[in-house]
Amino acid sequence: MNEYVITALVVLATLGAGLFLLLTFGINFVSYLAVGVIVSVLIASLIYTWWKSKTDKTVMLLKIEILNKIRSALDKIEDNIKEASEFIDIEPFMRDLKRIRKELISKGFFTKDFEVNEKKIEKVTLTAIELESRKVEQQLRSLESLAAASYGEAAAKRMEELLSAAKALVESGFSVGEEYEELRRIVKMPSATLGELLEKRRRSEEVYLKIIQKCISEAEFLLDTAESISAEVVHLRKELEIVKERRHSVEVIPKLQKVRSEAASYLTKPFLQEKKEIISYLERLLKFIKEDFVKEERAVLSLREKVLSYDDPGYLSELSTLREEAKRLTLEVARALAREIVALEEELKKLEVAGVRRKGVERYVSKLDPRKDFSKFSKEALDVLKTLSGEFDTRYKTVKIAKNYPAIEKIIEQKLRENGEVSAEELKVRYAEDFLKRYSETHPEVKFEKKTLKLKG
Amino acid sequence: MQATRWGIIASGQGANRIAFLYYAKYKNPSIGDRVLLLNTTPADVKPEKPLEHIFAQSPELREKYEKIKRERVCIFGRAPSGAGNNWVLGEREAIEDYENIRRYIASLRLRSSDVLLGIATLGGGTGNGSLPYIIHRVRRNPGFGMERINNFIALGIFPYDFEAPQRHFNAICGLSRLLRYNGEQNAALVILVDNSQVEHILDLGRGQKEERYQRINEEIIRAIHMLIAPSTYASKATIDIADYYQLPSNLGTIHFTPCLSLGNDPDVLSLDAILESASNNAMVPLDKGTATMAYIIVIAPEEKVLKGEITQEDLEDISREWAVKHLAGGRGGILRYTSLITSPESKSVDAMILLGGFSLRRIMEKCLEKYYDFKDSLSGESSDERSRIELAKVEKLEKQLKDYIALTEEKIARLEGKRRKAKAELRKWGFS
Ligand SMILES: Nc1nc2c(ncn2[C@@H]2O[C@H](COP(=O)(O)OP(=O)(O)OP(=O)(O)O)[C@@H](O)[C@H]2O)c(=O)[nH]1
Ligand SMILES: [Mg+2]
Repeated sequence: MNEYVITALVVLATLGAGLFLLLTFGINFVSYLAVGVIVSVLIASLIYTWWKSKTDKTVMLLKIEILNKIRSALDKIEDNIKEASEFIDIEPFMRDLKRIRKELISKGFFTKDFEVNEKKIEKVTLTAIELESRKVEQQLRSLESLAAASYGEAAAKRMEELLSAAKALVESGFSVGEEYEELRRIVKMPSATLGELLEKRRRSEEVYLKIIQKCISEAEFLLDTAESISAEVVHLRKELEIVKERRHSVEVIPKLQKVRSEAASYLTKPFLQEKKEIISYLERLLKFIKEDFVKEERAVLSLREKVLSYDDPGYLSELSTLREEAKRLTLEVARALAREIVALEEELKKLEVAGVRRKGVERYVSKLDPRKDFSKFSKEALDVLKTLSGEFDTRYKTVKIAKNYPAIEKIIEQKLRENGEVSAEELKVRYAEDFLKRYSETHPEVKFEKKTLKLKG
Repeated sequence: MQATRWGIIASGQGANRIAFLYYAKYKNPSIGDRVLLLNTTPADVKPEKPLEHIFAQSPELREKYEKIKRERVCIFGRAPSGAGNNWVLGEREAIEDYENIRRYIASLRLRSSDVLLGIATLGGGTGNGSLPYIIHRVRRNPGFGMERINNFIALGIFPYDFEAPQRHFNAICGLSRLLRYNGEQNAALVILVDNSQVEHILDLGRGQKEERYQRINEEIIRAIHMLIAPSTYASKATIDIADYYQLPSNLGTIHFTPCLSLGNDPDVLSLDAILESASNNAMVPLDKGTATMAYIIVIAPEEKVLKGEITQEDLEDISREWAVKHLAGGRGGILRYTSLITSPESKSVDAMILLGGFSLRRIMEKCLEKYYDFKDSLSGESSDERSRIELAKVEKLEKQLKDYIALTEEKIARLEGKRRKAKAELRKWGFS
């Protein structure tokens, strides 16, 4: 009853409003208005339909995604379990996985080829699919932890084995300390899931292999070096071949150790001898380095440190590089000496010291030929350095005496005035005797007796 | 530790030359531009006249002078031709025009903890007359806008032996007034230099007059540099400037003289030899072995110190031996400080020994005759009141200096003479 009334009232009101508009604005306006209203209603209904179908599609996509996730989880765990087959019996696990798949197919989520069954799931609600997914996830998780438990034990054993093998290599002198540390870090990494365990295992195998590889090349290098001093190493090469073939097995460790220690024992004696030769040469070189040759001194000292730090016969062949370096530094020291000698000669000229001639000391330096072998070179070098150093010292002293004489002359004069005599010791200066001699040469009133100056009479 | 700040006040012509030369040659952060030149030269003569000789060396120095001229050169007094070798007039001008002088000193902005070095030649009238008065005022009653400065060290320069009697008369009066003013101690320390003696140790031949001064002045500014050095460089045992004067003031003997030995090659000369040679270079004539105090300042190359080739400890040991040998009494005098200063720039070792409390006999010997020649002919009745040298005043100064000398001699004699027997001393303290 009421509805009729309302409808009637609405119709009447609309007509009234229409009439009112018609009367006030005219026919044109009203017809535009009517067309406008109709068009708006049409557009609104179109938008509504589009929106509705879209939400339906979104739901469908969600369903497919969930099912795909289930499938890839299944694939992943199957792969992992297959990879773990090295240490565990995977039959039961595979059976379970097959059962889960069958169930999913029979429920219509997947086709026989385990593709998502899009037709059938249209009718299944999203919630039902979510429920199924959670169930499968649960099953897979327990399956995996079961597998992880039995795999983990065996894998840990293997990794400990690798670690102690690597440690043994480090301890027997192979320079794989850094790699060993890396391996240790990997092995100690926490791992809970089967996936993590597998990853850890994979990486430790990789690093271990790297270690073995390095040890092999080191051993080969030692063998080459030993052979170069004509040691007999054929049997060791054979051992090393075996190592190369079976590099994954920790059983080859003793072989590697044997190759290394035997090859090194051939090298020890020559190594120590050559090292000593370089060190003693450098020490003699240092004696020729003058106080102001800071740069040269530092270079020689650091080379000596370097030689000293080589304490494994395996470095035998490196020593030749160091010998070359020693030759180079020798030339530098010699050049520095020659340079300073020339500077001193210039200074003497300026001081007008009589009898100064330039000696052309550079020619000594050019005598040094670094292409000669070390023992020959070092012998010649020490001779040259000795000459240069002597030339330097005499000139240095002459300069010092010339420069300081005026000051010292006054001191001598004063002492003579006070005591009538003065001794070298009393003078408390370097080159005291030379100063006294020089004084006596220019002062006839005094005479120079050994180390003492006395006023005559 | 904060570095001590110094200022220099130079009065009179000779002092102006020395102070300006120092300012021009040493860039010293502890001095900065606190160098004040005072003179009485009248306005028609350029105040820089006395410095012309220095300028001739390099135009840079003239520029430097122009820079400080306005604020740092003070012409005081109203005499038309300076003090004319009359210290009484020099002093009078300073007293009457103190307000003018004070304004310039105040512009140095010194604090009571700073040190002033006052320079004057003792033979003239201006510097010799004014500096003792200025020291007296600044240490006791400096006037408006200034803090009292206790550490006022005086540097007095004795005339050549051959100079005229009035110069020696001036010198005696000036010495007396630097040491004491109105009967009270005046300067905190009095450092003495003698022109003839410096020329002697420098072995200078007879040159032109200006040139002679130049060489002497160069030596004097080296001594000033060494004096200020502990405030300038880092030193291990800095002789703090307080130590320069407090103990001597307590002892009552405050006169010193620098002994320099500079530019020594540390590779050749040992520290012993360096101190030994310094002690031959006292800047006033003195009898060896009469000094009772010594400040030993050594500037050594940093690298030698870092390498441990020269150490404060070595220097202390060597100074002790040196003092036993060279100071009065055979036990190393009364007072000794040693300071090793390192300098990154220098390659040589510079040493200065400030010898103090020595017998003034040799200085008096050289001055006394001429002093009396002048004094005895004084009438004390000049018509110009401002420049009149009153006999009574001269007598007072003479007495004052005699007292001071007596004190000095007594200290030396006490060290030299009765070397106290330790046993007798101990008994007095109650030990059996
Ligand atoms: N060491 C040194 N002594 C100087 C110098 N100039 C002057 N004298 C000495 O100082 C004394 C003269 O003092 P001046 O400084 O010229 O005089 P003043 O202080 O200007 O006083 P007036 O008498 O008023 O000119 C003499 O004994 C000179 O030997 C100088 O440049 N160096
Ligand atoms: Mg003058």
